[in-house]
Amino acid sequence: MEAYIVGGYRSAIGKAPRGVFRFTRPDDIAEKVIRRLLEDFPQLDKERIDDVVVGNAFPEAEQGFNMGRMLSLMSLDTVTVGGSTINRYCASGVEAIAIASAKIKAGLADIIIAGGAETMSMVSMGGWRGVTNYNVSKNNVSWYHGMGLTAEAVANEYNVNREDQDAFALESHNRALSAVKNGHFKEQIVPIEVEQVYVDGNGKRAVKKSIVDADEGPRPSKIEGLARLKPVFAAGGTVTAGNASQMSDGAAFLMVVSEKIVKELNLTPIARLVDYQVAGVDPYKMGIGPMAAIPKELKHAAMKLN
Amino acid sequence: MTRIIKKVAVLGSGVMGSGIACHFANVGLEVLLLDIVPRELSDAEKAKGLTLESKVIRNKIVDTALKTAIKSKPAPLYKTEFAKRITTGNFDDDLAKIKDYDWVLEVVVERLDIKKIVFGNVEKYRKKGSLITSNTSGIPIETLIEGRSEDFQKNFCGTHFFNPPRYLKLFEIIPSTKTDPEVISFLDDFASRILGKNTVLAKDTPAFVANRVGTYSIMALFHSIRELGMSIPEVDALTGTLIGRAKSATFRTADVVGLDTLVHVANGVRENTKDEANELFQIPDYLQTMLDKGWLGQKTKQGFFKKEIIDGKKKFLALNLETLEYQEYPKVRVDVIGAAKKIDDLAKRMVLLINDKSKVGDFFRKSFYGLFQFVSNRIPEISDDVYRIDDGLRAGFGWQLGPFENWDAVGVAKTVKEMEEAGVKPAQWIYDMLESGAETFYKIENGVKKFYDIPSKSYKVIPGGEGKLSLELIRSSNVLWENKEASIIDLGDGVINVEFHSKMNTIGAGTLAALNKAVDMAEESYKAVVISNEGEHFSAGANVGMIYMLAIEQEWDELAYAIKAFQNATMRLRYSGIPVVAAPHGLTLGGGCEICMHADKVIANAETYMGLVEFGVGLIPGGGGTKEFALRLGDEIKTGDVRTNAFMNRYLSIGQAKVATSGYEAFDLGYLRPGIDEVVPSREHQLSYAKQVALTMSAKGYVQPARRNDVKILGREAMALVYVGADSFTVGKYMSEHDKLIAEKLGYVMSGGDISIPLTEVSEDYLLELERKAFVELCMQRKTLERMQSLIKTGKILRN
Repeated sequence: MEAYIVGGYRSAIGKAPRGVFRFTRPDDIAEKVIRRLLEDFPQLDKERIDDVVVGNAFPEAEQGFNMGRMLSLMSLDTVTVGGSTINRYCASGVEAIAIASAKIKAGLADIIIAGGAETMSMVSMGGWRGVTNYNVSKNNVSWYHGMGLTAEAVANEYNVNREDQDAFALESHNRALSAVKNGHFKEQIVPIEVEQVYVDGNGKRAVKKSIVDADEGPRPSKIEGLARLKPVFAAGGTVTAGNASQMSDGAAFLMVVSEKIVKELNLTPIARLVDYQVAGVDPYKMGIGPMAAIPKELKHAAMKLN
Repeated sequence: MTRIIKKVAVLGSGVMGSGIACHFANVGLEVLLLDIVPRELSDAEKAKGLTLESKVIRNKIVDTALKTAIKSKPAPLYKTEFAKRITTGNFDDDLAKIKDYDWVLEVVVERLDIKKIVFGNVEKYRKKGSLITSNTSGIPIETLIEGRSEDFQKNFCGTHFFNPPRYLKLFEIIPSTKTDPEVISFLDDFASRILGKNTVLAKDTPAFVANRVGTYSIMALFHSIRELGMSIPEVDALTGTLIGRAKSATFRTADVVGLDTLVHVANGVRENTKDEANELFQIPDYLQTMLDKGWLGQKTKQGFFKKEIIDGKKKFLALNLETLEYQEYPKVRVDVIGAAKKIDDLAKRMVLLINDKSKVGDFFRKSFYGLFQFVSNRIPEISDDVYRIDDGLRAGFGWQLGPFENWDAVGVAKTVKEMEEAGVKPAQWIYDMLESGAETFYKIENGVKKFYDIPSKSYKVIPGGEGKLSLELIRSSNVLWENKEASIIDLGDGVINVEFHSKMNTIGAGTLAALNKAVDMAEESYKAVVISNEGEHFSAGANVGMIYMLAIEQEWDELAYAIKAFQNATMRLRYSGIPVVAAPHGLTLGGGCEICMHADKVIANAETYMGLVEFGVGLIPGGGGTKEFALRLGDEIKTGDVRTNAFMNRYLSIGQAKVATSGYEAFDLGYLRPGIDEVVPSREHQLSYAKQVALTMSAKGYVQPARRNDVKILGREAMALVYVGADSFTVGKYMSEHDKLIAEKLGYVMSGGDISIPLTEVSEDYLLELERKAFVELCMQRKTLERMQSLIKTGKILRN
């Protein structure tokens, strides 16, 4: 039985560690996104949902206690739907969608809410108590290399120079700004109200509320500004705060359903996960992952790049 | 009436005002810093819709000035968090607040008319009886109180800080004719004990004491350099550390101070004095040209010196006073300088230089005869007492010896004769002094320093000595035991002091012997041991040369033995039947830091720079320091703490060879213990306080602590992180492969060896053995030997 994506929403992406969502828990953000998603399906009895699968890269602290199950309880107003939390680091959200699609195709479920939520402001990379494996640390330490070091390794081995990286970053910002300007994200973003209760300059308790509905990352940049930044992961390196990905806070969820449900509830599919493959490369140059995964995927799907 | 200062208001946020506010915050006071409201808005501000009424605009001047000061180097605050003790405001909105303040300090622009307006406004709100002072450097104190009320005048005094207020110890107290004597004695005590200053009472004369003599000295050289046909680098080579003066000597000092500031002081003296030296305060033509061109020194990036990049290399050029062009000068090489540098004793060195037969000798004779004549003529004009003038130059200009101390060093009677022959006669009282049988300006009698008092023609005790214990004064009759590297001195009342006196107070076998001997002696017949000295630095660390020799000869057993001796010595300080108090100051590195860490209490001076820096010579602390860090870590960890993070914090102090930039910062780096160790701002009071603390511990009842066999170590859990962290830094090229090796050895010892159960309990000896073994293994590494060699030969840290 085929699986279809019939709806999806996301929060705006805030910058970590000091952006708009730095005092807002990821489960609180995710709840609002899931509720908005469900509003599009008033005809759906929530107790028919089979599972909530949530991707998260450091499921501890504000993202702990099986966030998937907590979100199910927080967002669905029923105790009868389960929830799980899965981790494939940055691909956790995509993995959640793959799990949902696979289960539905296998006939194990009909309706799954799948997506991801993360706060890098409250739980930074490595988590609160990073305890590496002693033997691995001693004998295969590069398996623990952070993305900054892996980026430098890729840049060095494949001769991706600083100028090209900066140019790519500039283009990325420009495309994002253009998309924002043209309102491409307007429909998919759920405005989230953020509340801060604090003590003001006069020592009095105060409350501040605001609505977050715009991505914080894209900014007008100049190539000269990017060129001035110093490398942050290696002395004499090429990866800077400007040409590396930002750290972010946010959430996004899709509704994945079986063909049977599409027909029953008269839904319009938006997309379908056709195929999904996973491959590994030497962790020290993690960034070249697509060089292994894409050929494998194309072979498996018996498709060509074009 | 007891005067207590709880809150200080500083009026004026310029370089001095902001710096002074920071220093009051340093010692723990609540400070209010005020300046004027801006007169107009910038275009950007107008565009934001701000007005002159907006709060952020009204405090813009003071806020910007304070922020700039806090970021300046060297840091004016002991810790940046202390800035929270300072509140800013402006004269219009906030001056009324001074009604609750105990001390108002005026530091506004050097104009009498403006200062008078400020004082008029201060009078409207000032609390009766509160202290009101001015930091003026050139305006007569007497004129500042004109028209003020009686209470104002009684409580007013000049209080002249020197730049930068945190670091330069001189504090001139300049009373007016109306200043209450209680105010003078209060300021003397407060500035000394609480602000850590060296106080000098000065008369209300142009440039007071230090600047009058210091500027004379500089101006005299500004003129004589042309007469003697010398170059700027030559004069600086002769008037810096060679004669016990600041490294920046004469012309470099002028650049640092700022030529406009210097000229301002010189003009003030020239216009307001009529003595024999008046002409020397005239600005030479080349200096006027420099001012006209805006070459003001460091602040304008060029003055007498200029940094330039020539052929890709950074060069330090000096001004040619004839051509007024900058050029490169060859390094100054003069035979007598080489010979003089070999003499450690400054007094002996001065004798050599002033008797030199060459052009260099001429230079020194001319300079010093002039200086001696000048200062002798300034008494009683600027001060009644010789020691105040010497204090002023030592504390304000960094001279190791003041002018009269200099004169004593080269021989008063002999020099007077030579001065007469050169046509540079000193004042009459000098002749009277020699005639009365007094041959020197100072002498030490029974551990007390006395000065020649001119009116009574007799020697008097230098006042202000109560509460200040000085090794220099009591040493001669109180040495109980000594060797080449250290002495044990009786401080009286049952307390003995171990004083290091090796080169840079490095720690060798002799020092360790002295430490052991002192503890033995104290357990036998005294109450407590204090470890302190009066060298430039407490200790630069272990004698690396000694370790290097053993390592190069591959005498591994001997080396292990020597390290064990060091560990035994520090452990002896910890495990002794009497209290041991360490009182460090200045650089307290490596072994010096380890010694302090094993004392029962550390009474550190505010300007103490503690650090375990062994990484820089390719080693880890081997005198018990690594063990001690592991021990303190184990004690600090509570259930539920993220212990690996606590480990990393402590690990990085040693791994990155962190040196604290103040006594307070040493707590953050783990070298000092909160609730146990203390910081004292005053160098003069530090030893007597340390002695007092030792006696209190003894009186309270002291027991030798039980040996520790319950030190919690983290084992492989922490070592895994060290492997990952060291690797990341190395791959990121922030560390070399050799750094990585040292890092892993450090981690191994600090994590307690290859143990798989976290929080396993071990003894100190277990850790000391790991420390010793790792130390020896590192000494077997060629790159470590190269690092040690670099330090020994060039004093530089090699990162190989």
